[in-house]
Amino acid sequence: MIAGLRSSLRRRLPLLLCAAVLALATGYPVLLLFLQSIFPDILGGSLAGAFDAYRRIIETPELGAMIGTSLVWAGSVTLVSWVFGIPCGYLLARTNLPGKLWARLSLLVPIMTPPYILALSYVLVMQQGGFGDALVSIPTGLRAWFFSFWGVTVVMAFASFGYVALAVEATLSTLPRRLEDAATVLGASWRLRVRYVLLPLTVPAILNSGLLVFLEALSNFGVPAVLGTRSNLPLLPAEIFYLVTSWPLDLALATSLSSLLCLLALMALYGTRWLAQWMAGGHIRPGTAALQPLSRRWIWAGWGWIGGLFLLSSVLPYCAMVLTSVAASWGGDGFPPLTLKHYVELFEPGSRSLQALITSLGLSIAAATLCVVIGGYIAYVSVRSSGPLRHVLDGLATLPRVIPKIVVAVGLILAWNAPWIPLNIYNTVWMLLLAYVVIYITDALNYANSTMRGMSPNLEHAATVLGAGRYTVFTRIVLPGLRPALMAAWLTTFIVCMRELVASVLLLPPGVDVTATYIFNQFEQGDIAAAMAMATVTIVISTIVLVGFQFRRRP
Amino acid sequence: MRLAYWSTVLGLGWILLAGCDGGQREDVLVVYSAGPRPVAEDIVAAFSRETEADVELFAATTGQVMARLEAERYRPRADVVIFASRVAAEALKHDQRLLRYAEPPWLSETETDWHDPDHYYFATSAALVGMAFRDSVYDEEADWNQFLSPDPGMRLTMPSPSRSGAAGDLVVSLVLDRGDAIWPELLDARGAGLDFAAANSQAISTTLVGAFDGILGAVDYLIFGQIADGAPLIVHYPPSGSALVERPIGILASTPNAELSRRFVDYYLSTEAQERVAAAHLLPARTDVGVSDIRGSRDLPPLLERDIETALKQQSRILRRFQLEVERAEIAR
Repeated sequence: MIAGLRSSLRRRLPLLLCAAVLALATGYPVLLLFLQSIFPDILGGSLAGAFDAYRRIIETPELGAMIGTSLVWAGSVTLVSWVFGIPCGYLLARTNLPGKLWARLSLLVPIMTPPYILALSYVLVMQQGGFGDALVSIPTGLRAWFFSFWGVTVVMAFASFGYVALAVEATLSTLPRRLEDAATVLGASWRLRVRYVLLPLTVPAILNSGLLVFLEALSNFGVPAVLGTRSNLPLLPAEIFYLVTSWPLDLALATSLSSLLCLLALMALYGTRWLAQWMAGGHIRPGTAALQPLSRRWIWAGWGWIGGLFLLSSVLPYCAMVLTSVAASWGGDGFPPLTLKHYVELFEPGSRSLQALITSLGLSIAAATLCVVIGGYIAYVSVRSSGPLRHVLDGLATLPRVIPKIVVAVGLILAWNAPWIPLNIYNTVWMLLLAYVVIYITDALNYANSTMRGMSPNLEHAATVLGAGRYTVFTRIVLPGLRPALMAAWLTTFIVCMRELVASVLLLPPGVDVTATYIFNQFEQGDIAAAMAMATVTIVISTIVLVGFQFRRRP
Repeated sequence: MRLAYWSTVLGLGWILLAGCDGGQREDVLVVYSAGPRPVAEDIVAAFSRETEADVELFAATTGQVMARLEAERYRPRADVVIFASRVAAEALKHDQRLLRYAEPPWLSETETDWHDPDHYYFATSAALVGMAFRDSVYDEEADWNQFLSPDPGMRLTMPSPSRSGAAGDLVVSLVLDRGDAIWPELLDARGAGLDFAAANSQAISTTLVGAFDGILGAVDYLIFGQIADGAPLIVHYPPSGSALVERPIGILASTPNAELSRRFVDYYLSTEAQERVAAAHLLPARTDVGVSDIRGSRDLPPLLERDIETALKQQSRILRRFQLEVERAEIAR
């Protein structure tokens, strides 16, 4: 019997190993965060003051109001993104709009732009004596509107409406027109067709993309920290950040607000799933959709919509960013003289900025590679096994996608400073590497998972029969099969790590910068030109890597 | 995959080189210092030269230094800390996290009132927190009452008290000096457009480009530094009182390097280091070191009343209330 147990244990070893790694990397910090929010002094070994922080949240009306504001704001961002994105998706999927390739590209640019850079660029455009004032003077009313709830909402929506547009396009273009045609033949008006046919069929896609936008808005740190503080709009992630980093410090309040943020995100996730199931219009066979011909006037209108959004979400902020980085002086009247001085300073050997750039590159490359290798292996183990442990594994791995990054980062601080940790990882660059891997491994896992499901296990079985060990099967058969998916995952992870702000700002050791913290700090210190030069360089590097991979893929 | 392979090797190798320190080591002195960074860097470099000890410096704001100490509470790493706020040092002393330095040899040559009477921390220097104005709008009579009102008559900014230790000390001093009657006045000022900058440097730079006429809670040595560079600013100490903000140095009780730490404290209060401090327009703690030309004299203007023990007890509540009720207040535009 012991032999049987041992062999079953041995068979399950990879699964157990993966579960242990994920539990240590993500489960443990999040669990510790929840515990610390309930028992503020648990790291000191005391259970005193249970629920003290939650009591303070209930007793302080400003905190309750802030949570409400966060929810309303994230909801508004979702609504505005829908308004921006759904027409784009419809135009791309269902009409004969010319130049669709360019339209799709124009949607990708704002998705690729880090939201905090978008927000910083918009501050440059809109602030008093800023960019907009130098070119056309901005009316006071518009400025007041921009630095308020709706201005911040629209900027965040610019950063996220592309997801909605692409998701709606993907769904609509696989929906056959049969049902619509049937409705038309039976005499249904345009309005009835939309109400009873199109809407139920697209609702899942709309809701899911909306959920993505909502979760991103709820947990985004950059936009609230840059624009929220300038617009008297207190939002949860930025306030949690200030509680953890500024004086007087309040870890108990920070962890309990983090736990609430986490809870809200989970509620949004399950709420949307339930809503999508309830409203969805059943299954349909995919087919190709017929395109609706557009009159000349509607083509103009369609391009006006997409072009206008592109102008506001990409052209204007990018112009502000690049021009600020090459402007010699700031705040003068008219067009400033141009210089490359800030770029030269950026690349000066031994400077803080060059060091930040090198650190970012090293970290992003290492994190992307680790994510891909570990994520690929976990996906392999998880798809090729069964049983309850597999569900635990899947759950643990998707945790960081739902849980806001700032919560994971705060959890990591607690987890790796606990008195029982034998390693000195906090205060080293390793900490940030760990954080990047924990936060972004989900993406690599998802890419690998979907490919793995489509791969037949026959080759692996054949290799095992011929005497190949586990390691050989994984490296010689599974990895090559996963290669395209893993390349895509590597690329995505590299790009998101290059721009990661909130974990970096919380976890970096003394005296070390990465590009995102450099941009953020220089902007706060008032050295806008240096910040924008670094932002430009980061975006150029990401684009070069992206384009380079595209060329390698199809030689 | 080959590309990915080599990039892993390179990336990991680089991180190994960059990140393999950490933890408390006996041959390295770890100093956490609140600004000004150049002064801290100079003094650390000079101390290293003199003693041939390795010194690691983390220069940040008082808030960031406190945050790091708090995160590392159960795994301490720093040996010596320098704050821009006496209340912060008092908080550490209160938590029994500072090491007593019983009989420093230089004690009688310094401003003994600025130090902790129990010798857990010592002031290295001090600054005054008052106001600063662009010289075109300067008014000698200007006082708090005028600005903490619905009609201040100019556009004002203030470094956020949760980011700048000195501004935090000022807010605590103002509240303790005036009592709770000050809250509606602060809200009035906020309603009239008082803006909160992320840090001292942002308050100064936005004032210099003309977005504001003056700074409440301006730290005088920073303004003197700008004046030395030719900025059209004037430091103003309001007649009803400014806040004196000591910049205390303390040794953490957890240090394995008590001897080296004491030598660092001694060095910080030596004539040589104090002259560097004075050159940054701070008030040096040593009475035998002269102040910078722009500062002019050691005489103190009228000060706000403050009792350090009350300040410590109340400050968390005061600053949190300030943050939530004043700084984050919705204001009609």
